[in-house]
Amino acid sequence: TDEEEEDFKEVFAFEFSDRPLLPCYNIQVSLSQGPRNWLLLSDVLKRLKMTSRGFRCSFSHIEVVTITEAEFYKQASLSQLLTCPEDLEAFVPDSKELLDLVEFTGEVVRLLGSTLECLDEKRGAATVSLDRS
Amino acid sequence: FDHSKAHYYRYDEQISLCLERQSSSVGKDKNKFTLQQKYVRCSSRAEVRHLKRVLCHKLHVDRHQVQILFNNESLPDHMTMKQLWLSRWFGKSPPLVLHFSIKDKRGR
Repeated sequence: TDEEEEDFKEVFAFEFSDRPLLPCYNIQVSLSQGPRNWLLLSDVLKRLKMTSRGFRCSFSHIEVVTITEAEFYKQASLSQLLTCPEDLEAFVPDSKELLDLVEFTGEVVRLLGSTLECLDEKRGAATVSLDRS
Repeated sequence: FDHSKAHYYRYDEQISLCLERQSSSVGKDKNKFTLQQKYVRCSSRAEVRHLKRVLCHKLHVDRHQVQILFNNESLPDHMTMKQLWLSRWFGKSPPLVLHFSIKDKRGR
């Protein structure tokens, strides 16, 4: 709901996992919205041991967006946090191939087996488990 | 586009951390204060104090007991994860490895 949406903006969300986290990329996929965080669908499928078709059937409400590899590379390589050459070496800078992305949301995080903790600054030290997408 | 939501923390670049208990602070009970889910991701604007609070919640300890360390250096509360990454981890692959130590309550 809008109310939940309002609540969520005030909190820092922390994802906790017992497995190494999948890479997350801050990318603007459309001119109608600012940069968001995305996971590569291929990474998600590997982690969930699912096929693309299976994923789209099981989670038809989760939007999969596409972006050219070149555009993805261009944006990802601007990050000050992705400065290790290995981070982007799997991508071809001028490729017109399309990459499938899934937005990094609470629902996807839980799907991957992580837990989310959120810190509400307004309420001081209170920390609550975030159990919504 | 709608700029009114652009400041949301969830749209920030995310930082990937690995949070391990400092080995020298492991006492007799090795499982005590061990973080099972040691891989952590958060906004690059999150500060050390925020991480401390969440850690306290996870480990059920008082926030004065927790210290976050990078290479044995205790990190200041107001340092953001982005500052930390750029000053200590630039050019390296994620996750940024941090340690934490839990002081005994009696030692306060």
